[in-house]
Amino acid sequence: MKFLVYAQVDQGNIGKKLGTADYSYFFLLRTFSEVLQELGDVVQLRDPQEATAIHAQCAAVGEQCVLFSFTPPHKTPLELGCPTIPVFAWEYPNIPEDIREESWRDDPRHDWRYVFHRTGSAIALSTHTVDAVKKSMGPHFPIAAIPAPLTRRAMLTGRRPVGIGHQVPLTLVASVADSRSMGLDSDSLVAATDDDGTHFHPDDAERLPLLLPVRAVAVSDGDVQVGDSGEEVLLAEGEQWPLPCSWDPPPPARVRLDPQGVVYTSVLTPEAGRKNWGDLLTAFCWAFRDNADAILILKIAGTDLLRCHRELLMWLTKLSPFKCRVLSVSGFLPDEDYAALQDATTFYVNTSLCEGLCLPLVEFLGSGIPAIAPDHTAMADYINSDIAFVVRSFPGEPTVWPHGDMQMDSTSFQQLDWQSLHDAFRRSYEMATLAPERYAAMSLRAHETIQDYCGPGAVKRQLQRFLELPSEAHGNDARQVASCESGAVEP
Amino acid sequence: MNLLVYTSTADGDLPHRLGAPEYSYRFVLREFLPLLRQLGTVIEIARPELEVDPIYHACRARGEDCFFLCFMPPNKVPLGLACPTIPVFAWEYDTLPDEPFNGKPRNDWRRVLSLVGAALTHSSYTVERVRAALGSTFPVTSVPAPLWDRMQSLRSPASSERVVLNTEGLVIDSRKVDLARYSKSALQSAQPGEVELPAACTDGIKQVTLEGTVFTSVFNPGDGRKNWRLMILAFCEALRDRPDATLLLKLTHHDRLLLAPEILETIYRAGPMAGRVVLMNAYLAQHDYELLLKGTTFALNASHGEGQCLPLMEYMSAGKVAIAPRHTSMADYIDENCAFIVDSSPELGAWPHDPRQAFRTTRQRIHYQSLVSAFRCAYYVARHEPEVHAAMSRAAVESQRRYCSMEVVRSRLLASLEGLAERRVA
Repeated sequence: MKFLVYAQVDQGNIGKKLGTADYSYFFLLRTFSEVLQELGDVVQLRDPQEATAIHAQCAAVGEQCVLFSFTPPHKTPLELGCPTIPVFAWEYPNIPEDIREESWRDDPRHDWRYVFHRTGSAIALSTHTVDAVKKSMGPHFPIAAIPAPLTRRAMLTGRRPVGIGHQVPLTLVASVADSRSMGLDSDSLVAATDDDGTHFHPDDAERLPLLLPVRAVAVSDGDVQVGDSGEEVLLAEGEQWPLPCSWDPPPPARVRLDPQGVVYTSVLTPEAGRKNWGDLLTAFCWAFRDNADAILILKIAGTDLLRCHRELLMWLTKLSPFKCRVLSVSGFLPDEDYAALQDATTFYVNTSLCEGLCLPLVEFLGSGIPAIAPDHTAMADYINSDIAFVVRSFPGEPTVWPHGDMQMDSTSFQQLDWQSLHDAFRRSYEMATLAPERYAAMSLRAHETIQDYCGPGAVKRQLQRFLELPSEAHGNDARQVASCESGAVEP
Repeated sequence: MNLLVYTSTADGDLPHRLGAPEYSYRFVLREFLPLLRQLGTVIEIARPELEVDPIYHACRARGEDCFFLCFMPPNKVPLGLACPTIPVFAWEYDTLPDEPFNGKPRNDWRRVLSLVGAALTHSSYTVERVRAALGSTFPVTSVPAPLWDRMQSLRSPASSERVVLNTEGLVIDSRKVDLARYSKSALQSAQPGEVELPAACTDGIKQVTLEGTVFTSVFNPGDGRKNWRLMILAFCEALRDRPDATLLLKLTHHDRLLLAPEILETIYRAGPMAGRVVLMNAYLAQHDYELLLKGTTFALNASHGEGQCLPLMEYMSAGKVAIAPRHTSMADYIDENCAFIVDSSPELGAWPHDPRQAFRTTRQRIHYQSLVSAFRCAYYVARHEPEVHAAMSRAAVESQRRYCSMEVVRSRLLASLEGLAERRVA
């Protein structure tokens, strides 16, 4: 059987496309291809029109041929002489069908029902999306929820929290902003013209009884200041500690982060509003305003990183003073750096208002890193209290279509319970610092849960079922090897 | 007993000071005056620094008690007077301002309150928050604005009557406006201040007919706590196909056009609907104010926090069932007998008067679908369960009687003032 695979973004331009609307489809293509290789020949197309000719060649020799289009339905090529299966992520409880958007008028594919009637089947990444499609297409429409397979097999059997009490070496090549080097001062937000008529008398400071400040950040109470320990660690050639920065992000460099303590990591595109980094930042900084050994690493992607940096600066300025540490890392990380980031991480954090899958969350869990996350939308398929501190959420807050005119609410996402997120930070910190054996057990369960959910074997079985292929026979092995060697898919 | 009272907004200035800083303290003082006059001689002060101490010294010379009740937030209370000064203030956040922001030590309310040594506020929530900051023995008492008795002559049935109001000022009926002119892209492409409203909405006398099920919320659109976006979106979603449902937003702001385009944008973004949203920003004469109350079926609140909420208290005192969350000060009077309760939970927020808008406190996040469901339940009860509605209406009146009747507030206020007088003697 021949599998043609297509996505609008490919290996050649992925570095520049990080954070754009469709970039995660490249990752989907890459990871599904590895499993498809075990079921047949995989050929990656640069132009979907090639499918017609290849399908004809296959038909001539009696070989089945199907195109997996890793595109949202409204970008799925339909005029091909080749059966096409859209493979797509979707994070909302309904699908576009009533075209009220001006920018959609010229393309009937914006009514997704039109696309699904033409393709006759589809693969979504989550049960939540399957339910959304069946609401419009009826309960018998052939659509399966098959998550992106996790192909890099993590060799983990119960992690221990790393970095509690000692530094974890971590060097990344990126633009790194460190809350400890940003000169944060909430009083800098007062403009000279701000005067609300509050009385002032030169004697006030003496006359008013002085109470101990409730929330002044105390001088070091024995916590080791990560930023201060720079002189104790030998930097390799070309490395540097995070550079001071303010209104503009620091230039990309080989930066030594060496977080020390409980490390929370989130991989996100802040300009996608659904990622909800406001709740993430406020809950983290409030929960750990007195804990120097709590670190949040934000791996940031996006098309407007300058704006992201300035938003981050505003959030952190309004949150300051706090003793915890926030690091934002912008730039494309090669696989080995991404793995190093995972190794340094104690918990992965997701505070999204909706998800079509959340590949980074799945990857981190698969590597045995427990999470803080809500169990809504696609995450309902794999997040539970065995592997995560589950954040409460409530469905049904109205919002716009993510790819439409942004004028009118047509769908909805979730509200998070901020207090529950805050409490999850506190409870996870206590577990990591006080109950490492419970952490290790949770880590092991996270790894196992994800292998069952989307390990290569699990996804392969689901694809076989969906494509109505015969299940595994021993004789297939030779063909698998041959197809792997065909090298049609880029690594 | 002599009671000197002050707030920064003069009574006659109120119509054009609506929405300005501390304007609502004038409304609160108005509600207190009748009760204060029962307790002693009330003297209204215009310039505290000049007037208070001479009167105080004269009273002491006659052997009479004298207190300065300053209806202002602590940071704006005059200090250094010989006369015992009692701030009467509203507060709706869990953390009292405890930093000298803007270079002003008085923005740390703890320092001001410990200097004056006593305070009055309007809810048990605020009492608890003050004591959390100043110690469990700090003399602070909850005295809500005693408006219940005044509203009893305006008691109206639970259900609304068809009424016709005549009003100047701004009136916008969502059914009579081309909402597409206020889409997000239209507002973004317009120059600031250039979005035009139809002349029929702004000029001359307008007639407003209220009938069907009417949800009324009275608020200052400049006050970020009030959550008007959520109110509109939830109303439109809940009662999208009900032509007899009306959301009436009675705005109180001297700038009548403030936020009107943004409110219309929100109605537009909610999509087509059969019901209507009416915006009214007009200072209503007493007669029209009473008509509005009569025409209202439910009193609505969806805010992040309340220090007491005078409009909600008025409407409930007059027998209107509420849709409201049970948090901050509203926890004193909102329960399932008298209200359709809207769920909420804490989120991080800022003190409203902090120019930095630094994160220093939590406030309440309203759960959107819970508000939607409250609208639907209320509408159903109004249409189909008149006896339930009537019972809830009686419960609303009774709940406010316990909270803000003269009788209840008088005894607490008196006990508080007598305690302070005794302490001074001792």
